[in-house]
Amino acid sequence: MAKLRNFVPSTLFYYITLTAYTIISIYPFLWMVSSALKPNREVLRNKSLIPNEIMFNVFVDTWNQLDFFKYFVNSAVISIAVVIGIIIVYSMAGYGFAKTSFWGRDLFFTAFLGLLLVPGVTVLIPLMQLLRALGLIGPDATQLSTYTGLVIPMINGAGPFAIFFFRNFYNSLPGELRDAARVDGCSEWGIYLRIYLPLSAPVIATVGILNFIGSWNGFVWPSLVINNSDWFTLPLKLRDLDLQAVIQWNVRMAGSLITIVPVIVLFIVLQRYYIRGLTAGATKG
Amino acid sequence: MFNRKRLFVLMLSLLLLSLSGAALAQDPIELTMWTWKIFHVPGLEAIAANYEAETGIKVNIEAYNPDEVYRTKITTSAQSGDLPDILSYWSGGQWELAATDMLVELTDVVDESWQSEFLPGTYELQSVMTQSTYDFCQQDADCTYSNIEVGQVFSVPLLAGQAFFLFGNKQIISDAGLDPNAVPATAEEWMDAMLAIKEATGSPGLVTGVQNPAVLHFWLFNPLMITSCGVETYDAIWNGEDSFTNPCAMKVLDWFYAMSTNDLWMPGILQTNIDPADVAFSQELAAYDLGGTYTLGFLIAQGMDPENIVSFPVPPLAGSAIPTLEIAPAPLIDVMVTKHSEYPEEALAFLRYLTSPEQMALFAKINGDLPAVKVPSDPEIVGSVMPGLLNAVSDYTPFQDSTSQQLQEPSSVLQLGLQQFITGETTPEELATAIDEANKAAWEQLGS
Amino acid sequence: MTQTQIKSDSVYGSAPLGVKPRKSVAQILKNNSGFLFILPALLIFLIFGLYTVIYSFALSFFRWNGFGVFTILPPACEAPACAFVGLRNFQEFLYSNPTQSQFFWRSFQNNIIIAVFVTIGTIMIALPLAMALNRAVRGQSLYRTLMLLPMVTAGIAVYYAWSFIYQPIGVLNSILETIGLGALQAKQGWLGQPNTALLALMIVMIWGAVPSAMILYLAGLQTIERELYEAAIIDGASAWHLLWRITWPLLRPITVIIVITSLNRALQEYEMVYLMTNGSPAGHTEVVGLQIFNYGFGDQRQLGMASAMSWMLFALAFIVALINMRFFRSKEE
Repeated sequence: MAKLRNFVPSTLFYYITLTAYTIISIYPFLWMVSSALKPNREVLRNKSLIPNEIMFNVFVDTWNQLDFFKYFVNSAVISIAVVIGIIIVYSMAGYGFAKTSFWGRDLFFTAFLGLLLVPGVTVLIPLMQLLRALGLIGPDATQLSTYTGLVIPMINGAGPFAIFFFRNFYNSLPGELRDAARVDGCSEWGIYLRIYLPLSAPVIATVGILNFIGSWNGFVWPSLVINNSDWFTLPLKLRDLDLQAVIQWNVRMAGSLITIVPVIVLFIVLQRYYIRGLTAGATKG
Repeated sequence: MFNRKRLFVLMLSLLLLSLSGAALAQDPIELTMWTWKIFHVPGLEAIAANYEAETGIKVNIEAYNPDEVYRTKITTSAQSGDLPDILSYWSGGQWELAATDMLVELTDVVDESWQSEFLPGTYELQSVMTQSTYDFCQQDADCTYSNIEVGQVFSVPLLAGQAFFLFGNKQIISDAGLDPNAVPATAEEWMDAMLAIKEATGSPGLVTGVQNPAVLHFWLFNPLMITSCGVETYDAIWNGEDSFTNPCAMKVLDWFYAMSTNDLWMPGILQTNIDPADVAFSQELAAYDLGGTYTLGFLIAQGMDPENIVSFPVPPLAGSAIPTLEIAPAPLIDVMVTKHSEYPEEALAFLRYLTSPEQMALFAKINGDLPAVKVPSDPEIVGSVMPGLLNAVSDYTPFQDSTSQQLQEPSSVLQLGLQQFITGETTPEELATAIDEANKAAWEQLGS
Repeated sequence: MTQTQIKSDSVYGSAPLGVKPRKSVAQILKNNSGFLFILPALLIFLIFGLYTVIYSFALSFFRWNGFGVFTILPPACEAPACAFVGLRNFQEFLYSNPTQSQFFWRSFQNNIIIAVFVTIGTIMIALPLAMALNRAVRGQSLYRTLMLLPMVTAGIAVYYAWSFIYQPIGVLNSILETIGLGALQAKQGWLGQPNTALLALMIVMIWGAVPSAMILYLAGLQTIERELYEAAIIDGASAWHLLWRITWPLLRPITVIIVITSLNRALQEYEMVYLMTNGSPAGHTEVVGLQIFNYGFGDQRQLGMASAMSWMLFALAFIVALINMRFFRSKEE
C-alpha cells in the first residue's frame, strides 16, 4: 500500500475537490434564494450573495399572489397521475420485454427506444388535433378531460427511458425466481405482480422521482392544453405573476423557489431510493 | 266550467311567466379576450370593468407569454376550436388568420366615423388590405394569404408605437461639458458627442437590445438608410434593383462600423436584450439609449427622473436626402373577432367600445402605451407621459411612402453583419456585397 | 427434464422433430401471452406516438403556417396556408438556399462541438468526483444531496442565475480577478464575446449533466471488488494503470449510457440557448434546435421546414446511436 500512496492524492485533497464542486453546484440556487430576499433594484446592483436588507415580505406576498394551495393541488394531481401511469404501464412493458418472449419482441423494443430520438417540437400540433378529435379538449372540455388529455402524452413521452430502466432491471434479476414460481403453478401475470414488481421498488422510485420532477416543472405543454386559468399548474401561475412592465426579479425568484421547493423536499426524502434505483436499473446494461 | 277556464288561463299565465323568468335568469354573457402583453392586462381590465358596468357583459382578459407560446397557443387553439371571442395579434399578421377563415370579416362594419378615430397611417395601412401588399402577395408563390382581396378588413388597430427614439442621460452629457438640452442635428454630430462624453467621463455611448438581431436592423439601420437614400432609392435597393454598395447605403454601414471602431457600445452589448438595455440605461451605464414610444414609460417605472432624460428622433447622416426624421406611429397590435365566438354581435360591440377614444385614453393613462386611436393630450385624461409622446410623433413618416419588402434572407444577413461589426468579423464592403447576393437570390426564388 | 426438452415438447407436441404441425390459434395466443404486458404501452404509443410521428414526418414535405387544414387522416392540405413542396424544405436548408444553408451548417457545427465537448467534459468531471466521493466516507450523503441539486432545480431560474454570473461585472469575472487570473476575464461578458459564448453555455450544460453521471459512476465504482485492485497492486501496477485497465473498462456500460444521453441532449437542446443567448453573439451560439424552434414557433411560421430539420436531426442522432452501439458492443466482446 505504501507504493500506492505515492501516486494517490491524500484524502484531504478529495474533500477539497468535493467541497469546491459542491459550491459550484449550489451557487445558482443560493443566488435564487438571496435574490428572493432582496428588494428589486438591489438584485441587479448588489453582486454579493448577502442582501443589504432582508425582506421576507416578498415571499409572503408572492405566496399569496400565487394562491399556492390551489395550484399546488393542481400540479400535484397531474404529476402524481403521470407517475402512476408511467409506473403501471411501463413496469408491465419492461417485464414483458425482459422475461417473456413473443413474436416481434426485439423489434418493438427497438421501436420504443427509437422514440427517444424523435424531436418533440413538431408533434405538438398533431397532438392537439388528436386531443380535440378525442373530445378531451375544446369548448366542452372539463377539468378531468383536459387533465386526461394533458397526462397521457406525457406518459407516452416518458416511455423510452422507463422501459429501458425496467427491462434492464428485470433482466438483472435471476431467472430462477421465475422458474420456481412457474413450478408452483403461478401464471405469468402472477409472477409479475407478486414477485418482480415488489422487487423493483428502487427502479420505481427512480423513474417516479425523475418523471415527477419533469412533469412538475413542465411549462410549454400544459400552457397549450389548459385554457382555464383555474386549472393552471404552479409554473403556469408563476408566469401570470409577471404582471408589470418592470421585471420583478425578486418576485420571479421567490415564485420559482416556491414552485420547486416541494420537488426538492420530495427528492431529499426519497434520495436513498432514487440512487439505489438508478444504479440497479443501469449498471447491468 | 268557469273555474276550469280560469284555471287554464291561470296556468297559461304562470307558464308564460316562468318562461320569461327563465329567459331573464339565463346565464349572463361572458366574453374572452386574449393578448400576449401581460402588462397591458390592468389597462384592459379597467376597460372591461367599465363595459360590464354599462352593459352587464363580462369580459375576461387572459394573457399568454412569451411571444412564442402565444403564437403556438393560437395555432393549436385554432385546431381545437378554442379561440377566444376577441383576439389581439401583431398588426399585419392577421391576414394569415383571415385567409384560413378564422376571423369575422369587418369590411362593412367599420364605418367612416369609426375609421376617423384612428391615427393616420394605422388603420388604412395595416388593417385594410392595400394594393401594394396584395400585389406583393400575388407575386410570391409562397404567400399564405393570396385569397384576400384588396379592401378587405378583418381587424382594427388597438395600439401603436414606433422605435427610432433616442434617450439621453442629461447628467452624463452635462458632466462631459456639453449642453444637455442640445439635440444633435446629424448622426455624425451625435457620434462626436458620444466620443466627447467617453473622453471626458469614460461613460459608454450607446446601449440598446443588440442581442436581439432585429433591433439594430429595424430601430437604427432602417431610419438611417431611408433618410440617407430617400424613399425611392431605399425601395430600389431593397427590391434588388439597386445595390447596398450605393454610397447612400454605404454611409450607413460605415457609420455602424465606426461605432465599433470607436468603441462606443456599452460593454457586454451583445449579451444585452431589449429590457435589460433599458434597465442598464436607467442605471446610468450608458449615455444614450435607443428605444421607442414605449421606452419612456419603462424608464420612469425603473426609477429614472423624467427631467433627466432628453429624447429626440434618430438624427439622419449629414447630406441625407431627408434632413430630419419624422416619426409616425405604426400600428403594433390589432384586435379582431374570431369565428369560434358564440356571441359575435356582442364581441363586435365590445371591439367598438374598446377602441373608442375615452376608453383608449384611460388605457394610455394606466399603461403609458400609445393607442392607435386619437386621444386628447390633456395630462388629466391621459397621464403625464402621453402628452410628450403625442407631441413627438407626427402624422407622416417616410416609411408610409415606402412600398418595398425586406425579405427574410437579406435581412438575416444584414442583422448578422451588424452584430459582426461589433465582433470585428466583417467590414462594410464585405457586408454590402453579402446582402446584395442574398437579396438577389431571395427575389429570384420568390418568383418561382 | 432439461429446459430444451420441455420447450420442444410444448411447441411441437409429440410429433417427430423436423415436422412442424400447424399451431392452433389458441397455441399462438398462449405462446405470445407476453404480448399482453406491452399492450397498454403499445396502444398509447400507436395513438399518441406513432400518429404524431407520421404526421410530423409527412409535414416535412409541405409548406404550412399552422393555420387552416393540414391532416393526414384523411390527407388534406388547404391552400393558401398549405402546399405540397416535396423535398424543397430539405434542399433549402441543406444546400439550395445560400443563406439558410449557411446558417444551418454553422449551427450544426456548433451542435457537433457541443456534443463532443460536453460529453467528454461530463465524463472527465463526473468520474473523478465519483471516485473522490467513493473515498470520502464522512459526510458522503450530504455531499451527494448538495451535488445533485442542479438536477432538480427548474430550468428558467437556473438559466437566469447563470446569465447573471456571466455578466461583464459579474461573479465569474470577480472570482477570476480575486484568484489572480484577471487576464482570463471576459470583459464583454462571457455570453457577449464570440470566443467565450459557446464555451459558457457548454459549462452550464456540463454543470447540469454531471450530477446524474456522477451517481451512476459512484454506483458502478461500488460494485467493483477491492480484490481486483489489490491483486493488481501486488503485481506492481501504478495508480494510472488501475484506472485505465480496471476501473474504466468495468465502467463501460455506464459510460455508454452517459454518452448516449449526452449526445442526444446535445443534438436537441434549444431551451437553454433560447433563454440565455438566442444565438448571439453574431450567431456563435446558434444551434439547430434553436433554428427549428424559431421556424416552428417564431414569427416565420414555417412548420414544414421545422419538421424537415427535426427529421434531419433525428436521422443524425440515429446514426450516431447506431455507431455508438456498434463501437461499444464490439469492445465488450
